[in-house]
Amino acid sequence: MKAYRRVCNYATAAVKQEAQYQIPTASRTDKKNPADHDSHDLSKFYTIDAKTVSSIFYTGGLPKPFVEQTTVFAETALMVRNPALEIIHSLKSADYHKPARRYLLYGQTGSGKSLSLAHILHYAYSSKFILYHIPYVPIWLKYGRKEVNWSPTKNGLADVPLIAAQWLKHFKHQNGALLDELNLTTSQDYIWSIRETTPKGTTLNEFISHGINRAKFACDCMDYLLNELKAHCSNNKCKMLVAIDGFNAFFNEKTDLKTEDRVKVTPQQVSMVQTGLSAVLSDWNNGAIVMVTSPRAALNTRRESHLPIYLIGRQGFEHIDPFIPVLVPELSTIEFNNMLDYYEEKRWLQKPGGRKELEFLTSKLPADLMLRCASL
Amino acid sequence: MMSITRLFASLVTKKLNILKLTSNYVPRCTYGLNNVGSNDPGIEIEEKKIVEEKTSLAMRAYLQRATLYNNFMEQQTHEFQVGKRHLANMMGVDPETFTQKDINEAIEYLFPSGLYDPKARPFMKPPSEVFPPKKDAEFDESGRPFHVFFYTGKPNFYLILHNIATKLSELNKFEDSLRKNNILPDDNKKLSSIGSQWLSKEDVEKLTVEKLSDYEYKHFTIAIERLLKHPCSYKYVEFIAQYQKPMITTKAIMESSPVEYTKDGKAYVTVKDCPRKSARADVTVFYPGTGKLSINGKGIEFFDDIQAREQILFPLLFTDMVEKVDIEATVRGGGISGKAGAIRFGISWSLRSFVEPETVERMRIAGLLQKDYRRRERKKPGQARARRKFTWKKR
Amino acid sequence: MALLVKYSKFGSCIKHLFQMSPQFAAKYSVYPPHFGEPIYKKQELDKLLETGGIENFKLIPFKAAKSNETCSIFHDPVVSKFINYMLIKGQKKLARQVLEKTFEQIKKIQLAKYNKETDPEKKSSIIVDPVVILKKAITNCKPLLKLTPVKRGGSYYQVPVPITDKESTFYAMRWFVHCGREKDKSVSFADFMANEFIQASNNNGRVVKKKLDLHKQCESNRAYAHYRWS
Repeated sequence: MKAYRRVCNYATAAVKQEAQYQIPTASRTDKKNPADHDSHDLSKFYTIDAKTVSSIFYTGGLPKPFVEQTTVFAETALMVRNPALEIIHSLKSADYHKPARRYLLYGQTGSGKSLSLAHILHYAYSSKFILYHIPYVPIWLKYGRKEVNWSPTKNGLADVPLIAAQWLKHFKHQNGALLDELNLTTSQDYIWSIRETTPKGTTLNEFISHGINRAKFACDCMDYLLNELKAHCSNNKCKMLVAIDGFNAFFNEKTDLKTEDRVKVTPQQVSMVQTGLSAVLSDWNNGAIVMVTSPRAALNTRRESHLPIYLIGRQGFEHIDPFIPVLVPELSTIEFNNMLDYYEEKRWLQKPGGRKELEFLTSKLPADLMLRCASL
Repeated sequence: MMSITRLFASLVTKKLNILKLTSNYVPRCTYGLNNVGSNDPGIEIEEKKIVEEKTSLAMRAYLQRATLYNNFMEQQTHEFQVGKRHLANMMGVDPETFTQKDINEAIEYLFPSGLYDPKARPFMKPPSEVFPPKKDAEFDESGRPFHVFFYTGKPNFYLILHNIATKLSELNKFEDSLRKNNILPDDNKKLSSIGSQWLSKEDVEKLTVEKLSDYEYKHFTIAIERLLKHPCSYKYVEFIAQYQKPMITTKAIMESSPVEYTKDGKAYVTVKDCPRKSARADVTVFYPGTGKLSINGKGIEFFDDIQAREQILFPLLFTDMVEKVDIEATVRGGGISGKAGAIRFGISWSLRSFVEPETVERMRIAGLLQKDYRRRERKKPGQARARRKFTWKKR
Repeated sequence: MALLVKYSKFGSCIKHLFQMSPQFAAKYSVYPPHFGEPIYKKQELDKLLETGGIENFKLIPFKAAKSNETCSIFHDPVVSKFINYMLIKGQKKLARQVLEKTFEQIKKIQLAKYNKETDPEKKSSIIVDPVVILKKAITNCKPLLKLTPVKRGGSYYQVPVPITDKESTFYAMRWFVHCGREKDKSVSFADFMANEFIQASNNNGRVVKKKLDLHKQCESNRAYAHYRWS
């Protein structure tokens, strides 16, 4: 493989005539289950079969450009990289009797944090964790003519019912089958209004469906759901992985959401955000929490640095302290070459050679590389 | 015009030595540049007595003007010489060895000027340089012109063209004679146009003391180019050399900037104030490096635009130094493209010191070592923008 | 004079940009006329070195390289030219982005075809490289003649006239750009142009039709061809 590349990259005109350019193949690993991945699989691609992809990521989780690429390549291939592998190993060897551990993935925009999170999610899914997955926090907080109502149950907090209902759908899609298997039920009655109550002992699936159908109560439903899940996890009935992408958006200064009385709400005032923040607390065990802070999630406010202390501020730090920070770096040389081999194998990158240039231009950030190679 | 061509045709066919005709017949003036076409160096100046009855009023006025000019120039020259001696005495230098350079320095010292334009500052130059040269009397008292081509209106210029044409015909005859004897013109002797350019329009105007139009200058260039391209043109090397000017050497580019060393012994080159539009960059390139890049403290993320990034990559890729040098640049002013261009120039200029001379030559041909002096073109009055004209309305 | 006329008629034609006063000049260049155009591609320079043509350039100064030209293999002069033609209001960044999106779209369409195709011969004949398709499309749309209005006896006749390669390429590219401007508002430029390029590379589509229409018109105006020379 290397010999080919050497010939092709540094060949003079004469030699090139003899050796026609051989399209390289990316190095892959055959292990489909992320639980089996180990250090031998580093910088190799592994494919997720379509069924799993649709069951985990159908309603969000993979970045949009990546999804478009998977339709072109007709497969979803993730690269096994160090940060994700470290966290998976840690999860495997964790003591679940202790309170839930927190991991924080951080790095520059486009360094591969979301896809590392996707890798971890796949592991959790195949290890029968319940996925409490928020695909991308700013979706909750961006301007989109969403209805924002002041919450009837919680004082001073605002509800975004439609988004909550959407998230519940996402949760159900990911975890529906697992919840059926585990047969978890509610531990108490929940009274929505004079006529609507959910009695104790209803399955969580039904509970969630109720929340989806009655969007008015979706935010409260989310909150109660979280409490139920925490209780079940603490009682050793199930394991849960809380995965939040764009965590630092919880600590932005403002949002574009406006209530009916034309009041702009801050993220801290949104009830769903408070639910998310409580999910990150360590008052439960038998699970883990993985957060991703991304400069993009700061929505054009904090541009100076990609470090978590800058993005989530003192308040956020104190909220999640203690945690294990994991840096997601740029691609190493082996990973970089492998990625380009993969693109050439799929006939996406049409011009072989020029790797030095791509290295310089994209500073080996995978998202930048994807963007650059799209037109080449 | 037709009469003149007929005249010339007749002259040529009659094979008369035109110049000899004029020299014997008419007095020559030493002043001015009437001697352009002259082949005979040593002509005796005969002062013919002016016969008063034959001169017309216009002729008299013309002669008066000529004499006035001559006297004026004489006077000015005399004043200049005297002044020069005075200046030499003032400066305490021997007047005999007082050159023009010394005069310039003396004037700069005695009359310091804060004026921006060098042409506005005080100077002392020989009057032939200061006052534009005028043509002397072009015809005698009887009104008969001295120069053959006087009636073209630009005699000196058309004499040049005529010479070129005659030489071309002579060369053709020469080549024919060679070929009759089955000899091919010698290829080794053939003149090349590399390394020299033709005199510019201003130079030719100075030479002929006549104002030329662009069309005429173009004719001149075409004609002499034609002469040069003739395989036997080596016969008239001196004639062609009269109208040639050596090309500007690229010495400044070949001499690279000085290399300095850090405390650790790393070699580096700093280039300050690299220009591009209104951006200015200071670029430092460290030679044994690993490919680190820092622009105003940030990496390549300083530029969002791909084009800007490619521009910075260009010189490094061209010289294969992408991972071999470290670059530190500070840039200010201008826009994205200007900043990128300034840094590109800085990198190229610094890399000259770390690369073979052959590669430096290649960089020069690639256009990396040339300062880009293009600036935004100004808007002109009567037009909407720099080039765009106002909408043409019929009424 | 007659001699001079005789010799200058067939003399070399010099392209000259006269350095007139910048204020009201028709043509104006920062560089004097003898400056050479930069040669920045490594392969061309290697060829020059081999043939020894580099000696000719030793004393000629060269203009500065343009901001959109690099020696990188990903840079193509045809693509650069096309981006320049697509430019509106000097927004080079946007024009380039849009063209790159078009290339991406071309790749997607062609790859879909490629992956679907089972016959190995046909498979190898499918071109996926968008730059190759662009070049092929442009060559397929280059007209051989154009119509110029010539005034004869009070009225203007459209006379077919041969054109240079440069001009012909210009027309081809310009037709593509105009075609892009006529598109439906709901369709993105990238999708639209991708289809156009692929069709043109197969000798179909609107732009090729335009070229053929022009050729037809030239054919029909054949009778006026002699109007070119008085």
